[in-house]
Amino acid sequence: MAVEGMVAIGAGLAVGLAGIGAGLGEQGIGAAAVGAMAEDPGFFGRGLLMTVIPETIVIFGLVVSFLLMFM
Amino acid sequence: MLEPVRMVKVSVVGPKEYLEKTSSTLYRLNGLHIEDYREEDEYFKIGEPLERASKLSKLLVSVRSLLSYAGVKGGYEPERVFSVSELDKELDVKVRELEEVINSRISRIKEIEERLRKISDERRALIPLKTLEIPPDLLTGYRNLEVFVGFVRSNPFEKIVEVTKDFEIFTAEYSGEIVIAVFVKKDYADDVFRTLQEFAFKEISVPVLDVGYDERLSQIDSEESELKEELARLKEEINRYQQDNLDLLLALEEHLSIELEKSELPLRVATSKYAFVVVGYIPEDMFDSFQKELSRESGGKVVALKVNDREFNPPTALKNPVFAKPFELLTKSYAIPKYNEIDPTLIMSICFPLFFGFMLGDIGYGLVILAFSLWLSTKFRTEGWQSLLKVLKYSAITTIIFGFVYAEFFGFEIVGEESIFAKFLGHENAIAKAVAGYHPVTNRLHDAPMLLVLTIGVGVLHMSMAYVIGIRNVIKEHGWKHAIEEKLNWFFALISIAFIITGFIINNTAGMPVFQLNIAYMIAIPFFLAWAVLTIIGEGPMFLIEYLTLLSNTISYARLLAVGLASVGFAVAFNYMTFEMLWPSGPIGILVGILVFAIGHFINILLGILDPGLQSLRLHYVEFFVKFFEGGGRIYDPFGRKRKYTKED
Repeated sequence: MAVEGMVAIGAGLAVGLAGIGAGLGEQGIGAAAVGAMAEDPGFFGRGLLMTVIPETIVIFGLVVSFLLMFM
Repeated sequence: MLEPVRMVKVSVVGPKEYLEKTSSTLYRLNGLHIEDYREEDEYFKIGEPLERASKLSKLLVSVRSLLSYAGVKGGYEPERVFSVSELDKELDVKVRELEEVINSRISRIKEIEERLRKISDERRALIPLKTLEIPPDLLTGYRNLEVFVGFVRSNPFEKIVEVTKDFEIFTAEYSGEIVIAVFVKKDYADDVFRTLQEFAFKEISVPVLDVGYDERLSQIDSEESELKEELARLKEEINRYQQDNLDLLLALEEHLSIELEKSELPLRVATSKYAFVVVGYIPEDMFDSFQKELSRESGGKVVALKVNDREFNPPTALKNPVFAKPFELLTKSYAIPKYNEIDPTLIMSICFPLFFGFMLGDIGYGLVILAFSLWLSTKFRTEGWQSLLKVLKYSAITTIIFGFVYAEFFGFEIVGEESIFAKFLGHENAIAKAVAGYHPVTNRLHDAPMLLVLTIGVGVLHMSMAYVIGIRNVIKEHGWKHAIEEKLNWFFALISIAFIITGFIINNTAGMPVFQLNIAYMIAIPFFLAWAVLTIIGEGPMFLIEYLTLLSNTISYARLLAVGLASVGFAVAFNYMTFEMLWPSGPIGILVGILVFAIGHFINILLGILDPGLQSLRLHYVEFFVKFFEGGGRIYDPFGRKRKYTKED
């Protein structure tokens, strides 16, 4: 297979797998945050903050895919 | 502007007999945030509510229960505003009148509903009985016979035979179940009943009837429709009456709650045998007029004084220019700033729409969202919705502006060789030719690496701002030493990260080995070392690991590009499907194409509101606020309110 093809697959895997990982991480936190918000709506800000913490992993994946594709 | 409103601590002192009057004055001035008095001592006790409080609260309960039937929408504007003296004159009479009219109808409604339930139960019993074809008077009233009427799962004939032979059974089918009537001698009744229970016997209580089934059923039908008519009429009457008197009801509610609050003020103040003391906070610039007004109203008997107390813990009143006001909603849903903290609303009001626009950046989408939010803001009139929609409007405007920067319209390019004009009007068209020579300021798909660097730069600037504010906050609260050891060191870390990334890019574009020393790396090193030393001194070596968190925070700003690319990708894909694949394939293709285009862009716009909105919010909450914003303030809630349905004379 041509190198470009492998690079494209690699880039796709980097974002896709990172996305799955972040999703797995967020599911528990998200559920807990919604529960906390049901108790006290003032928790919204902090709940959102906690929920999105694992999301950074996707951004790492994204940056990696950028490095693969463009550099 | 960045700080909450400056406050002074005030104590209002006067003779006790002036408390009622002072309460009214304070309420009218609507400026004093009262601190409730809690610690009773030898001289000062918590006051007693005024006499009329209990009567007022009784009336208020009635009015509120009447209002609860009216269902007032948020943002309702009254047609008539009542004056306080007018309401006061016949408060009792009016409330009683309203109550009588409405309550009499409500009790009749309850009666009717009860009756409706009863006859519909009867009908539910009659219809299956009718299928048995036994006249109702034959089902009850025997001296030596017991009659079981009801549903069973299957025919119990054989089992009953095992108990006794002296019985008669009638069966019929009704909606998948079996209706039975079993006539049996009283002596065997218990045994037969037990047998029937094995067949899941559900008894039907036989109503006492002096007419046949059909006649009774038609009686029920006609009674039911009569009752329903009356019910609808009563509800309509209540509704109409309430609509006619809505302004009055709302005015009464407002007036009574105000009077009640006033008469309960003593519960929040310290009173001695002859005097009272109210302690609270008031905005600095209100103090002079507040003081004058109080002493004028009481003929100099009640005085307001500034207090220089060690215990100074004022509430937070956010102060922002008009355009930034709606963003207070976003700040507050994170936390309420402490009195001494910087209120980040203003910065957010600038950065949030910019981030949003940068991510979505499409003229067409921007226009759609703008129109959508303008339309919604006529529908949802509550304060929260209005703020949210204003935020959306600002974001739509920046989306349009960035749309011009990227030269995108629903995913099409508006300038260049392959512009939207060239595609639809042909390459020879005058407009297509005119725009062919231009290029967008930047094309997101082609310039992605450059934009990636830009987003990181934006992140560094954004977070630098956060650290500057953080340093200021810590100086204010804990002093210079803490500021240097807790915030400045991390600011250094951020600078070193910025230069390390720069060095990385320099080496990469020049084709050099990644970690070869260059000018940017050399600048980064002293900052890095300064950070490490300060952190170890201030927070301990464990915190060195946090450097990675900061690094990931910085890279996190790459989402500014990523979200945008995803949205452009969608738009381009839908356009391609519609105009390249489906359009050329004939009339059906065109129809399907239009459908794909409409649904695709609709979904993309919805995502385009949700995703950039959330991501922009997240960048503020997670990357920005965390670096300086602690929150935990109390919201400034002055004694008093703006009247809406009533007016003072």
